[in-house]
Amino acid sequence: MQTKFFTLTQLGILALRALPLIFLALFFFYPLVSIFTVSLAPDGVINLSGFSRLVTSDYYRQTFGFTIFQALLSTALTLAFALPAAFVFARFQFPGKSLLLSLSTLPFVLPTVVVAAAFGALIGENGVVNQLLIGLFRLEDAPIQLEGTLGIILIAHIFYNFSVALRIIGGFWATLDPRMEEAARVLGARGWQLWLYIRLPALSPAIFAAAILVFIFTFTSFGVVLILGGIRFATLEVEIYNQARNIFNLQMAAALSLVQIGFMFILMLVYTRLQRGSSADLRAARQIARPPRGAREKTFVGAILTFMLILQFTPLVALIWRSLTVGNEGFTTRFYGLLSTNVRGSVLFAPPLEAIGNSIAIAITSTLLSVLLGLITAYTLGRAESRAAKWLDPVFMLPLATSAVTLGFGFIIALDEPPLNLRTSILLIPIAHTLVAMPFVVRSVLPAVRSISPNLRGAAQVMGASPFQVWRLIDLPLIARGLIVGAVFAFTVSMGEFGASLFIARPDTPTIPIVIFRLLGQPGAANYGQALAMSTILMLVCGCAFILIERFRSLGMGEF
Amino acid sequence: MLLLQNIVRSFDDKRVLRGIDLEVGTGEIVCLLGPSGCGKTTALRIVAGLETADSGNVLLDGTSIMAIPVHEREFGLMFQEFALFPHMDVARNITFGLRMAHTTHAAQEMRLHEVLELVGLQGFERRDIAQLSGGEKQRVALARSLASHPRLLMLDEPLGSLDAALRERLVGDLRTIIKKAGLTALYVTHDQREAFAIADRIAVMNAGKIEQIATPPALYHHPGTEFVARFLGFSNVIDAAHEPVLSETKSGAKTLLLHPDGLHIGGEHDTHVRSGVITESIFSGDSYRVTVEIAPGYSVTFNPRSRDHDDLSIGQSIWVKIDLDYVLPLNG
Repeated sequence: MQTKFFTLTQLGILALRALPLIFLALFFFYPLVSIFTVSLAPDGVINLSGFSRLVTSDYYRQTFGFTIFQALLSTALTLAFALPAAFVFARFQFPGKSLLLSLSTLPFVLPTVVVAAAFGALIGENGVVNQLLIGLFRLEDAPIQLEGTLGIILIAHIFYNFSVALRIIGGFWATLDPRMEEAARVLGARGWQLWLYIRLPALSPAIFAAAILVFIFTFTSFGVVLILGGIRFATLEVEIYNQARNIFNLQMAAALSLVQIGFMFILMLVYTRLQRGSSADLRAARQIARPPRGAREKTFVGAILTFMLILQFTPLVALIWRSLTVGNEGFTTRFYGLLSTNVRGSVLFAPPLEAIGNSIAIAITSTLLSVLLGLITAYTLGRAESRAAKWLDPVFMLPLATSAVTLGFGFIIALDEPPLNLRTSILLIPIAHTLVAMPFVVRSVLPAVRSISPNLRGAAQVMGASPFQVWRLIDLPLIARGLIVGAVFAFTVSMGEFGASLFIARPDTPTIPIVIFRLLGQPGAANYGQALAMSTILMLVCGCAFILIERFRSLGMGEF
Repeated sequence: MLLLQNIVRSFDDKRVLRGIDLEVGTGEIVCLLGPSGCGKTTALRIVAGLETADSGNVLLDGTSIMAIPVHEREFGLMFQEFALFPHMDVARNITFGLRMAHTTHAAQEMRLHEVLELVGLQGFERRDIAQLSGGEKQRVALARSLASHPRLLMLDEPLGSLDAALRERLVGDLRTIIKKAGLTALYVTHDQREAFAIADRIAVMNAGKIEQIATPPALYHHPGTEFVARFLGFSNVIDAAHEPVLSETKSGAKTLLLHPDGLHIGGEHDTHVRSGVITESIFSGDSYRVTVEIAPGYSVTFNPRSRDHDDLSIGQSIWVKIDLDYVLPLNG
């Protein structure tokens, strides 16, 4: 009796553990294989014409070149701004420091369409800054012409990645032993020598890790480039979208995707190698921060903090402001009202408000799915002492290393025909979002699962708790925070996901980001106003999620 | 009451337990003593049911408990790091086992106050675990493992994570509390002084086997094997070739322990004296600790009382008197 019960339980556990792997196999690896097939042998025989055009055509070479160029430039600029800020956060103590540090992660949860809309509202042709300048100096034309330039793309990228670099470098910096510098000083090193011989070399693992992460993010930048760059700029991501959606050249899109996948794979490999050397725990840091002293230090700290505040908050304020003032009627909430109506001749098939309903339903489904699968995965990775866990860990992170556009593209070429035809399934978008969100759940829950000492479970067992009671009374309360953080993350990711949704969303059931994208592409104050109103709503939703995350997340960056 | 029969356990081809036999009587405290890696904790975990044995049997009151899952054994276990639940307060930690057994609320409250009084922590019910000091945590962990009237109490290095001074103070309390509660206990430690203070009987373990089982005084005065003698800190383990005469009186044993309690400073005309030169002399208050070289490769260390000797310095020649009752043959 006893043994039979145990084998049944074990079978159940085995089946549960297989779920995430089956999910990945069906919805990640299978589409990936389809991309390989379509790019290498679209008609069943090997046909490399797609790749040969990639190499011979100036156009694709330029696209590839531009993708790398803008990513390098964005990375360099981001680091140039983040390094002084990291210094300030590592070495100085000032009022509001922890609040500012946690607020600086806000961009991380903001959807690309919102960021694009916000920068348009701030420094676009009719943006707040231009309006102010025109009003101040009685100008005829807008003095700042950034729309459709590389400049606005770079600024948006810096906005996005500044906090990532700040967190990684600043966190590592705070753990460095200050006596190292003191020793160098005593030995005669002065200002610049300290930077060159002590600080930068000591920080180099963190700087490299941050650089590669920022490079990865900007290399796969899609929404920002598509919306702010206009038609003049195309990264690989944008080009995949163009080829697949506008020109219907699937082979070319697949070839580009393959290049993208290969590149990302290498970058992720380098990143995980580097991360081992630079993963710093902010909690372990010895307190070495002190208040700034003297006019020079105070000015420096003040300037850096002012820059941070301007970079991170003016676009968001501008977005809200413009959503209430587009057009000639002064202050109005008209555009919010318009969201519930289906304007005749609009590009949309349904009133925008319906998209909010769609997005929420999709986000809830994705959250449930990714929490279930992420939880199982975290336990597989956290409790297995076997070599399998080591090997499986990167496998579950792979979807993170694959761009959203590639995922979406893989879906439309793999899942719209037998054996797995989900083209009309309402689950298609939640499944795609789950792929993107699941790694976040795993990363939030895994540290908690690992931190539970086996003796805690043993103690509960000895005192009479059955295996299920042990999980409910010991594990669950201890991983609850991580689980909530992961769930909120999953919800936000799903609400803001743009790249994959653009491929697979049906025209009659758009999500919020897609409606914003379509509205932004249309002329007229009404469309633009609605786009900004929608963006503001989405931003507020993500802002609330962000507050929840910060509330529940214990100090530090978690495992990212 | 508890009986272990020929317990064998391997991890990845490494034999951790190589046939353990042990009996613990009702109300007895038996201590498993040995260096780290000797298998003592594995043996304890097998009794608890947290680990399985490859072969052998564990019996409780004559019935095998091998097939009973951990949570139905009704044992108490105290871990080295205490394993207190960080998300529960003191009261909820202590009553955990009672809640699992669906004890009434009133009975839980009563027992809670009983055990808190027993460990001397009245008024700590609502404290958070994080607020407790090391010694308080230890007491809460003990109270928790006692609360459900376990049939057997197991303690795995329960003082191991405390500092030496605290450990010394608590070890006496621990024995008093266990005896007061009338429990049968299996206690695991690597610290011989802790084992001496707490146990009714001690089983010394080495590399997956029990080397010797004895009461603390018997173990101290008559260590049976070379391993036990060395583990207890006796250094005068000598090859019988140095002392053929003494070996003869101990039925020709190959290895002898000259117990330091049986070595004294004597005179030329005493029986069983050896002449030697002091190679080390350390004054430590009531006694000296002197090492005397009797022959090349044959030195003994013992502790003459300081009030009997004004000066014992290095290089001095003395006579060492050997008490035959303290010459012990060693096995293995």
